[in-house]
Amino acid sequence: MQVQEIEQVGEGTLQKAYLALKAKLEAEGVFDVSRKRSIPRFPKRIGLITSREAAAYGDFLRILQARWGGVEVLHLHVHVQGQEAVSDIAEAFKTFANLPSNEKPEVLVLTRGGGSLEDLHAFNDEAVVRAVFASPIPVICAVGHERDESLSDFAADIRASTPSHAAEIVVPRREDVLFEIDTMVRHQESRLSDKLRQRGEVVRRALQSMQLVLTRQGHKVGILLERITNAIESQIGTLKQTCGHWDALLRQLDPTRVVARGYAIVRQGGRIIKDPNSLDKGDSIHIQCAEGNLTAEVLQTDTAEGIQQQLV
Amino acid sequence: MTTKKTKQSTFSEAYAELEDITAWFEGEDVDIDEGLKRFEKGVALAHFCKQRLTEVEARVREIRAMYESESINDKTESI
Repeated sequence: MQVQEIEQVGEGTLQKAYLALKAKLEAEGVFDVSRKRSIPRFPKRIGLITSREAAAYGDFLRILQARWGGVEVLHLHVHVQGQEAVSDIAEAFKTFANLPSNEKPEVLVLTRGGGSLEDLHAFNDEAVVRAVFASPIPVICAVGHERDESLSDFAADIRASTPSHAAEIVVPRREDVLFEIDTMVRHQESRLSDKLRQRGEVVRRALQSMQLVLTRQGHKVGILLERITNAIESQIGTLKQTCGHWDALLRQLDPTRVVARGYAIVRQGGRIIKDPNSLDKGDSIHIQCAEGNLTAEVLQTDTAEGIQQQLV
Repeated sequence: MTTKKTKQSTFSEAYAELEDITAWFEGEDVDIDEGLKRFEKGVALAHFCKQRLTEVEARVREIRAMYESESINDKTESI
């Protein structure tokens, strides 16, 4: 047998075409990482491009539902393999792009399950890849199983490995978000109570230093009081001494002491008589002696020396 | 701080506001009075978000490609 020509058929041909298109689109920048867009964390409306009959459809919705709720899924049924697939998918992108803004999803999910390279052919078709690339709405592409990769995957904003994975990317998990919310509130609360504690500490310290000042002032007042008391006490001592002098002096002047020495005091009607002329003969007088009193009558008065008094 | 009423907010708006409030609390200068106000708002937003999280149902609406039909087919089903 002589081989004159070898023609590539089947998977080999597809593989060659795939690589050629990949190189071409890559050169055009269709796969550029720089133009990848992010998707909202909590989308309200999701556009789903897949076949109603595909397992991917059920898988995607099941995971979506398990993770998140209250979301609206706009499903556009397309053939994901066969002759109609390319035009269906390309048209689906146009449909979503042309929806009025109040109907437009925030993210598109293009998905199908695994298959052979022929099965996945539509996702490597230039028209589909360009439709993904041109979509004004960010696209998540999940074609095949973990190991499969399509050109649509590369052109999409986000590449998911499986339909379930696409659901995991497109919505968060309720429990995670719940935990985040609780964490945020706890964080706010602890920051606030920290601040309150700090303020309380400031007030406590202020009170403490005020108390210290008051104690110091009180101490000063105490010292002052002590000094005043001491000063008054020493003054009192001096006064006591002075009083003692006066007392001695007064005691010296006490007439009873003079009388005790043998002198007598003459009175008439309580009045002390110094001048005998103030008396007349026969006047009654009282004489105070050391040991007692006398009542006498004046017999004679004489102002000059040699006074004579005659006792009755 | 936004004056938007919680009732009118969507989940993502409420969540974003909650994040803003948390970020505010991260700052150095946390005024107690303002802090109490924001915390109150934060708690209300968290409550609103949690309530929205209890919505478990996702709605699926089938739409047709433009060449098949003019607009969205109203067939809606819950999953």
